[in-house]
Amino acid sequence: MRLPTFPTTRDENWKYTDLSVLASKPFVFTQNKIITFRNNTQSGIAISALSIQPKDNLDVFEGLNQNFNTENYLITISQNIIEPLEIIYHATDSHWAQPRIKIIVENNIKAKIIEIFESNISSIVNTVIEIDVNSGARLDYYKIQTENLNSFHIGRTHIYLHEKSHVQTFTLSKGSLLARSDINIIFKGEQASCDLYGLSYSKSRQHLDHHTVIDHAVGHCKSNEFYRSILEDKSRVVFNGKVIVREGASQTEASQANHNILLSSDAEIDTKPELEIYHDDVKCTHGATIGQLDEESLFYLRSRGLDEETSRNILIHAFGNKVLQCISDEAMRERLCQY
Amino acid sequence: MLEIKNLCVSVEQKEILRGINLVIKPGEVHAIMGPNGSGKSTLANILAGRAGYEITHGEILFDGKDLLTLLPEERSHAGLFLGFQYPVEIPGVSNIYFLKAALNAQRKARNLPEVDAMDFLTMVKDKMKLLEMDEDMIYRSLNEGFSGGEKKRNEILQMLVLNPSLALLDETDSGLDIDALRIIALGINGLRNKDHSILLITHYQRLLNYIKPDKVHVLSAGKIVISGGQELAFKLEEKGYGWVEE
Repeated sequence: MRLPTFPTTRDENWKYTDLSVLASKPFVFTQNKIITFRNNTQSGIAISALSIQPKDNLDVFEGLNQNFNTENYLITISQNIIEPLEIIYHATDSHWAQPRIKIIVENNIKAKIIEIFESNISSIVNTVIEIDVNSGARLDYYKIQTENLNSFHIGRTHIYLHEKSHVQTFTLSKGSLLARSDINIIFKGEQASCDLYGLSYSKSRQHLDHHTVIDHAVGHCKSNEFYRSILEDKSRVVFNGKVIVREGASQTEASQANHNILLSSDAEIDTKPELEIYHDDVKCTHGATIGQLDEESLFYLRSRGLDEETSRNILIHAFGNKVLQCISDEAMRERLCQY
Repeated sequence: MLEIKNLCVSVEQKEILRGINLVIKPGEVHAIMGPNGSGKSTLANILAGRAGYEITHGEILFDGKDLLTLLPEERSHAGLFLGFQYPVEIPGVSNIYFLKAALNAQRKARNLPEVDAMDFLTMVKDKMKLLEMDEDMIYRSLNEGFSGGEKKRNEILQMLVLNPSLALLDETDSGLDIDALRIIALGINGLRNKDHSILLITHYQRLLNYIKPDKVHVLSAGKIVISGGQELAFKLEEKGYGWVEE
């Protein structure tokens, strides 16, 4: 198999993420299926094979996923589901796994989906998931990325929001040597809304890249985005949040916040809000902060008898907690605390 | 209990404390008064172990131990408590979680088992009643969005829960209205007994109307210039600090 041409850091979309280590890995596709499901036998969930409709003008990773797909499913959710549908990606070899999933949440249905990525060996996953959230439907989508620390993760999530639908996403990133998570939201119908939350914890030489695109293609929609990261050692985190407000997308509301703490002077964060606004009647806000653990808070906790390590952990936990507290589902909140 | 011998402290080469001598015996309440910039808060911070000060001379003994070699948490375990002039807000950490973690850290250092959750809650609620605090305050984030008065009450609540043998209270009375002052004083007096000592740092005499000190010291330009009983505080109130400096 000929090695594909990967983007370089001269490519704006990959400016902060160097793919040369991934390019040096053997380019072989896995023969194994890596996906298993949990809570998939509830009534209202139908899972079948997906017939992939080829698209042109895809970037290299989505193109590879389409042309050398290793596994695929079409999931239709036609009744409110109580237990979240869990999709577990567990690679057992070091070859490229390229699963693809399409999910349809039907009109006025409430659904919860969790994607869990895990591996015990150095794995390579290049995955694409497309989700249609139909009119009046509500989806809670969680992505938990905890692969082995020598792994590579390229994950792309496309969410199409139809009229009066809502999605809440939560991305927890802490696995892999190199991970790139893209979430692309497109508003297809009016009065829809989305809340995008993310928390990352990186250490050693990990590189965790988060790109989000929220496309306000139609008016009267609301988007809200809140990402936090905690960086240790020589790790590096990227947050690139793009918001597009198309011409004619009246009364769009978009807010974005990204807060980061660096626990080491060798860690690096690149945070970049990108707003492309082609309409006047809109409300858009964004803000990013980068800091360290507050010395005054640390002293306060220590003066009450908590040792330095415990005090640091309390402050780190509290920082992450601010994002977790945004999650509306209490059971999920507690579950996420375990990671 | 506490013995400070000829303590000299500098910050960025500037001498802030210039030979402090002070002895506090078990059960005593001392008040240190003095104008802004006289070194009162520096003294409290040095005792609690805040970083950023250079001790150029002198020593501090706490129950016979060399205090200056201890970490802030070790000082706390030894029974020292600093009530902050400006308590820190820590979003995302609930007040009750923090209080319990702090108490258990102290108990662990003394080889005691963790406190029973129900006993702990009852104990905290009793003390909150004394301080006229709303119960829901313990479930809120530590000091986040608390008013000035609420923060100071919360400091006193922590003090009562941790039950230190020496409490240093750095301008705990500043910014309080008369009712809050009375309640805070009630809390502080609740700690007072023959084993517990208190060092009050204050600008004003008015706190001492509620908490009668055994000794009053006046700090000026980094030195204790005069010591006496409560009558000294009354005299200061009447004549101002200029009188001492003359």
